[in-house]
Amino acid sequence: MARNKYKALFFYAIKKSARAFPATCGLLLFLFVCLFVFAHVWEYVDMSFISIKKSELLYYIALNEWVLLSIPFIHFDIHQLFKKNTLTSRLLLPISFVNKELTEAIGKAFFHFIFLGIGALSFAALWTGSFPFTLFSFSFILITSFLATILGTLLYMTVGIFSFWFEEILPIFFLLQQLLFLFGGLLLPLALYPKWTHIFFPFLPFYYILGGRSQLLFVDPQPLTYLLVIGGVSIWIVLMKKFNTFLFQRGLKG
Amino acid sequence: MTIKARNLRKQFRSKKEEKGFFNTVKSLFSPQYVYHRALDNLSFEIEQGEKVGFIGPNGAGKSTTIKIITGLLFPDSGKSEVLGLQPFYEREKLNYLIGVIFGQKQTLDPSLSVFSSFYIRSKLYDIEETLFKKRLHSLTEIFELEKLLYKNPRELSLGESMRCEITAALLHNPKILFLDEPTIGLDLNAKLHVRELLNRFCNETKATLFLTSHDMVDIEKITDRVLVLNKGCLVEDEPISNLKKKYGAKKVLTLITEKDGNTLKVPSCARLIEAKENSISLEVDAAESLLEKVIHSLMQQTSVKDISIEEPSLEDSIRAIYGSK
Repeated sequence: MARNKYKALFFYAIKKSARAFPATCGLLLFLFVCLFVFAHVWEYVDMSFISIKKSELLYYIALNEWVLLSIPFIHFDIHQLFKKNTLTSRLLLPISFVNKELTEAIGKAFFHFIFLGIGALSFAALWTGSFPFTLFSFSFILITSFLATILGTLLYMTVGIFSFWFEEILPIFFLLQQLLFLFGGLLLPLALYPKWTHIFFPFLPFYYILGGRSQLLFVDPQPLTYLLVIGGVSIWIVLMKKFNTFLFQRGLKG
Repeated sequence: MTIKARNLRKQFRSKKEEKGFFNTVKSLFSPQYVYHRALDNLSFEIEQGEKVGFIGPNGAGKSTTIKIITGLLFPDSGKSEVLGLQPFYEREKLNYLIGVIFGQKQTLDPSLSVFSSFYIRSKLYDIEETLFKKRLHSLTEIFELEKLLYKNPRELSLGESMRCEITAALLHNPKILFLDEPTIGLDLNAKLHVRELLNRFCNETKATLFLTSHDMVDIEKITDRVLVLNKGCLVEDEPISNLKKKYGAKKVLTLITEKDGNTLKVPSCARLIEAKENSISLEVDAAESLLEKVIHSLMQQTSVKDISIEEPSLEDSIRAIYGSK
């Protein structure tokens, strides 16, 4: 019975996202612009100091942007419930608030994930004229990328739940986003950071959402590494889900 | 016992607004708070099938109470139990058994049709497909929703929207129905309709009803018992009829008389409101049975063609309670 509930919510969210398809097209356009700009920038930058090829770098950024843009702005939706004083109506349903919002967000993310994935990979393939994946590594990319989207959604959800204590959550969101860019390797590939910092990255959730996941594809594409990344991102999902449930209940209790 | 509340207390704190730049900056580091007591030792019990009105002036603590017994708020102290469950800790279980309607809040998803909102609700409440169709069919008939089902909630009038909200709250056949101002903003016809439908639902299902409203006609027409709250305390808990007797205080007695009303001697237990050429209106204390005495006294003075007795309204009684407490 409970499974039916979540299945219904998941498809309900997809239905709602399909109705807002122009928004997905907007994200797709933004993704193309990002990839186009980066692809051009690298044409003129000397990249000899890192061991990653330019074509791989475009895939690296495509994989990162794909996940980043697929994460729904759940923090904003939750914050609106507080601002419009409509949280109560969500709490009067026979399902946990965190589970409901998360399931709907995953449905939304799934819809974006499909279209943005096709867009990002097609762009990178057409631009570089290569497709550096085997069937195995591509399956790994699909699984970890979607898990990364879920983990990102949970992080954004934490920001949304902070609405219990903060009137404005935008500064917290910006802080989180900067940490994600910095430690996720979006500002600079993680390979460029000092060697000693690499020990800490796998202990941060940002690593699994962006660069850590993407760079493994080029640096160390071994089955064991794949499993470690899947394990890492799964552990972080479980931890963040538990943390959000605790945080929400704490906020509600006042 | 369906609903049990024992010594509920709740206070809210809000940040004190400081005046001037210096104080505003200071308040960032050492904020001052203002405390407001919403509930003070509130206790009551409600049996299965009872229809209870919950009234009080603004800020009396009505919404806080509803929020505590539906598990939306956690009390500072005291205990509440609804259908044997602890509302805050077992909210999800409890939500299967209760229906809640907030008159000023829309729960239907504005991005989908009314039917889709009902459908997703049926899934959340684990209602089987055939049962959902059956219930929706019967509620559609009762609430006359045929033409509204495939509309977007944004296209509905206030009355139509309320009928849909009530349907949504009844789809899972709740054992208790909590209503917070269900007729607010509705026109007279829509109000009558909603009252009639709620009565019909409660009579058919024997559901418990907990109604909060500032509209005393709602309370009078729908409920049998009234809990009156003032400043977070329960000041009255009586059947409506008792409340009227206790606080309704005055009845208005009008007699159409043979003689000029101005010439009649008014008994000491009544107060003259108006005397005309062939009528007299008096205010008589309804708590004590003085009516008979007054009528008898007047009939000894003149022959009476017609008598009318105006009952005190619940609103008058409530006003008397607020005034006295």
